[in-house]
Amino acid sequence: MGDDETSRPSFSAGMRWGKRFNVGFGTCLVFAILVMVNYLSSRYFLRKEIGLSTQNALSPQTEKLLKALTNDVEITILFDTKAEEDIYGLTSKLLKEYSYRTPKILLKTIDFNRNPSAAQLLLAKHKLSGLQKNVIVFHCNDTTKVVYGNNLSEYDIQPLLNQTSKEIRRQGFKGESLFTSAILAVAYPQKLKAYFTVGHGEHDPMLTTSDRRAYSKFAAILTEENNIQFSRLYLPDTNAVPEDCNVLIVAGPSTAAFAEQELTKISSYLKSGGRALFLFNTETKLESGIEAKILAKWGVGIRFNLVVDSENPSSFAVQRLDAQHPITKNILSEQMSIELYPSRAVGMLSGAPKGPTSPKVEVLAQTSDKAVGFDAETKAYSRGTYPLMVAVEQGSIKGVTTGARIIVTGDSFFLSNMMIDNEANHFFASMVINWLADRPQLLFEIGPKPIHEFKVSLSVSKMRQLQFLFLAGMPGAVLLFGILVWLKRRS
Amino acid sequence: MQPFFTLTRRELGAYFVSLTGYVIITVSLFLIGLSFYTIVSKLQAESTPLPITELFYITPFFWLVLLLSAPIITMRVFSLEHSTGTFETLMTTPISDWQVVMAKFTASLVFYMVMWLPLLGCLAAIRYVTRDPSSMDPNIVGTTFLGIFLLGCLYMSMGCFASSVTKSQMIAAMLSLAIGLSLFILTFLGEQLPMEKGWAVATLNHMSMLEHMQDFSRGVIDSRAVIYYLSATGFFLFLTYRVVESRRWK
Repeated sequence: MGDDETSRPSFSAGMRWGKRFNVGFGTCLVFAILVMVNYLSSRYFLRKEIGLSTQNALSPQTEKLLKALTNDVEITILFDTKAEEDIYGLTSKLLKEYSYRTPKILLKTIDFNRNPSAAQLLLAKHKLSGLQKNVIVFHCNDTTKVVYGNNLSEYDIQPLLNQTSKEIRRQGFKGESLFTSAILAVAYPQKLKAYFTVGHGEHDPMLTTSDRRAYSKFAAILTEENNIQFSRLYLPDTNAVPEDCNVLIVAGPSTAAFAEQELTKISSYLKSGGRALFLFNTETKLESGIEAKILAKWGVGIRFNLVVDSENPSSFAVQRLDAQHPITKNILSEQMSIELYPSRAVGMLSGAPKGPTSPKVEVLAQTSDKAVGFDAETKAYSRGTYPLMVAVEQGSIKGVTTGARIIVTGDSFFLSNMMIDNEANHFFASMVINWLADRPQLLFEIGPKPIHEFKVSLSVSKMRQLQFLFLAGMPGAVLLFGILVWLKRRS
Repeated sequence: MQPFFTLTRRELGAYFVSLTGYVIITVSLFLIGLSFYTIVSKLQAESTPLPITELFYITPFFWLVLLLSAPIITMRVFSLEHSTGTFETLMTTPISDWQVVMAKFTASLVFYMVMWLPLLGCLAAIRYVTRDPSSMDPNIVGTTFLGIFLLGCLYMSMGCFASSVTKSQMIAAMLSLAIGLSLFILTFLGEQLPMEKGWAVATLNHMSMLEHMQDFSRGVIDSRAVIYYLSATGFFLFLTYRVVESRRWK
């Protein structure tokens, strides 16, 4: 019996195989758990930014748009990543945030220098010039939109003009505004169109100067930020307001009144549920005809006066905004202030019909109670509160608007190239257009994100000190300490 | 837990009483210093909107420190014990296999983190020369260290595994370097794939260390990256445990 026990192997072949199987199976099981855990974590994840700056946070507008995407949007960043490292870094980071929000965003980067063939292929595919090294291409369902790298930054040239610095510093990054707009353009390719009436001394959307008559910056807000094309409309040449007109803009008529036929066309357009923005100003020496023959029928009155609400006669800040209306409540929540040129008073007519089917007129903006109005007819001054802007809406049932929408303002210069750079004016222009075009998902403004840049200016001796500290001082100190410990141990 | 702490202390002692540990820290510190000197020279020439921590991780020195230090720190943890024959002695002590594995891993990780501590000094120096408090946002510094810690967990566990399978420290180091380098290279492979939806692209993106570190270095904590590093660390520690355990049935 004792012999049997000693001759029996302590680890039989069967046991060895069993153990091997056990190890193999266990390892596969753990690996499967690893894959499963990572698969689940990639589907249900949490991203939290805890830095003091919120560079990577997306605006509610972008978040909303990304969540609503139903088609895949391919975004290709074609950049010279070495030469444009900073702006590429910001672009890449931001677009990665987009792709983390939805799997519908497919993001790819092509380095112009590392992968020139792929870069050329992309440029040829989208018929872009080979000279364009830094572009971001958005593509969805045969629709392509390109954002150029040189449009992404906002620069502060003031120190250069003041000769306090020889450097132009980047102060803002416009990426989110341009990228969200591009996604909107390719994912929802339905083109909206705005028409600017001409022939009555209106502001010119093609005029790019920085004066009060030029409206090119407002036109750029339409096209670049809101994906709305625009054209000029000479009403006597058409039978009616064009059918593809989503927003009609009458921007400060000042030299000629509208002819009866033109007024009829505008009136018919509004009656059929059209959307219009009427901007007046105090330089108008005559009635355009719109005031009495169109707007009065919609319950809007416009006084022939000049209103100022500050001691500064050239411009004033709007003191009171409607906290409920979607256009103005966002401006209030952002604590911004609309700057107006002296304005005409625009308000609700007292005798306007009130009923369930009547147009709903809301005053969007008013002066403070200390504003001064000069009446051109009576030549009298009077102090008080003056309404400055109104919104008219017809046929709104539980938030769904089927009828006309009108915005009337007593000043038109506040959206001109001269004043639209004011943040609130810019915001207002965008809000108004999106409200008129019935795009509630875009009733937020995406402004440029401020960029905080780091720079050091050290003397040669300071640089040497730093070089010594980094390359010799710190490593040397550790090595010296190590040698001391070693010597002590030896002794 | 007492045996675990005792063993961890013994392992840490092996790093700090010999010259080897200090040489590793010195070389790493030299590379970190070199990268910071490069950053300061760059900032001297032009301004940048990127946080300093992000500029640091972009430099090749960061990855050089990570990829080279892990094999060097871990190559001896099991191999030396095997080659000198002290492993069997260790295994006869009343300490479980898991405790041995975890103690050696913890000691390597603690040494690795100590090696990175001077980074704080470099950041403070940059903060001093830029005179800009935002150049050293404590939250971003915290997340950067979290990223370094998680990367360290993965690389130390890989190193422990590599060291456990061989008696030769050189082979252990080479094996650890090969696994670590392969994982790192996978990051670049993801960029070469066409823009398509699919498990390959998704997997490579999920494993992209550059992406993870970019997030950490700008103050973003992503649960995917945290889970990836912790689970992969767990997997390699499990493999190490199996190798250590295998002496019982070989």
